[in-house]
Amino acid sequence: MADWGLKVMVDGKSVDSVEPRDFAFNSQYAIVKIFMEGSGNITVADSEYQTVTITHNLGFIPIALAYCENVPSSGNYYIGSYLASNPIAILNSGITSYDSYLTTTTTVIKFYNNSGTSRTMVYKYYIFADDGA
Amino acid sequence: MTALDYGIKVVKAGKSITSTDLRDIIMSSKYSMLKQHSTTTGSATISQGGTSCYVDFSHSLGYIPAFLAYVSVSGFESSKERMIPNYSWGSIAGSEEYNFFGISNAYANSSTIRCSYNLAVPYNTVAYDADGVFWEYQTGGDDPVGVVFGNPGEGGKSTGWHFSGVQVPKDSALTSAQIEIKNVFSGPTNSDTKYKIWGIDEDNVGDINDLGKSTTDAYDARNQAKVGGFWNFGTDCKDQVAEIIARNNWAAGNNMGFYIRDDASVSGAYVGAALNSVSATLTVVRTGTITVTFRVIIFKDKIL
Repeated sequence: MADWGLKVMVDGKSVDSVEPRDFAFNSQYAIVKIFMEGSGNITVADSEYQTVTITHNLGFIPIALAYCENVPSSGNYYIGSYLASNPIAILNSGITSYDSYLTTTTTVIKFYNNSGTSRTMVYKYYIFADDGA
Repeated sequence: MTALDYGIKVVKAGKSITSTDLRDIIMSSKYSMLKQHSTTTGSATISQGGTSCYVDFSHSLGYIPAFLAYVSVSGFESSKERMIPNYSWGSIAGSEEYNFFGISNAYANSSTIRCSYNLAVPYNTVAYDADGVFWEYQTGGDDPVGVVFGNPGEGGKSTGWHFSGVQVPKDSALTSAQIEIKNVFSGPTNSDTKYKIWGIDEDNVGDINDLGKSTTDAYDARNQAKVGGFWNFGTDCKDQVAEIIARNNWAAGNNMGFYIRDDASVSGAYVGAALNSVSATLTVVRTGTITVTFRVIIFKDKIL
């Protein structure tokens, strides 16, 4: 079988390079493809939590990324689940946080609020058409 | 005019171009990809007694980008790089204590990626509550009162304090050591109470049942002014701890003891405490610094 394919090199790198980082694209390597992306906001009453379920129906557990502005209007978007300095006490630490999990059909993001007042949190997610396997 | 169904699709070797399993596709122009903007590393330090640090990475994209972040800590599990957010625990190289709890977070805004690291316990700091006290003077009854040090009118009185399992490695460089005794009160006179504090010069102090154990060469002599009501008493003992941990057979995790002795205080000058409510804590801070290194991959793709 012939050795063929498509390679696009990073500027200044040789097409004969065996270093994967030298390739802008190489058909030998699968690319993490964005299957879905989206954003939204959710209002969570004090001492409560709300769940956002995003259906992807990929049939496998995909790679995903999530970001959340857990302090409204701060403009700061945390990656993953915000961790309080004492995770065990996260539900009574006076902050908002979230966690997430994946199934073969959905991505679920759970938002917790124990800030003392209702909060509207903004989130952004990426779901990739890959499972990393 | 009808839009045509066209594009570029590359599938894995042996897979059909018509496969409906998206994992078979190496690349398809139907799906976008995260596009790398930059990869940057940066470090910050946490010194003894400190609990946090952060590094800001400027990106000048003008919008909030997607990103990934990783963190490593010098001396912690061979500086393994961990994904952020992260919660990890263990011990730092050179320290037997298993009390390193680190939490890392990262966020992006329109100008910066901030990576932060927080310790649940101040770095290189250990604290232990006394688990044994010898009172040279104490009253009886259901609510006994003792004299920590000073002269209640029957001559000078002293105490011995025992702390178990002190996780300070032999010959550690110390930044500070202190004993704090909470909920004490002053005697009736306005004169200062005079005291000296010694360490007990043993490798692994057993129960303290008297004031006769050998003491360190190092001691501190101090005057304590009268204070109204109940208050907390703190006294430095760095030199005494340094002498104890320099002993040939001292080992981290051994027990440590101290005497706080009256030093010819006048009658009525003393520091007392209710035995049912008093508590004492030995806090030792060792000198040292950890370096926290963050690596951030910033994408050109917008979060918002």
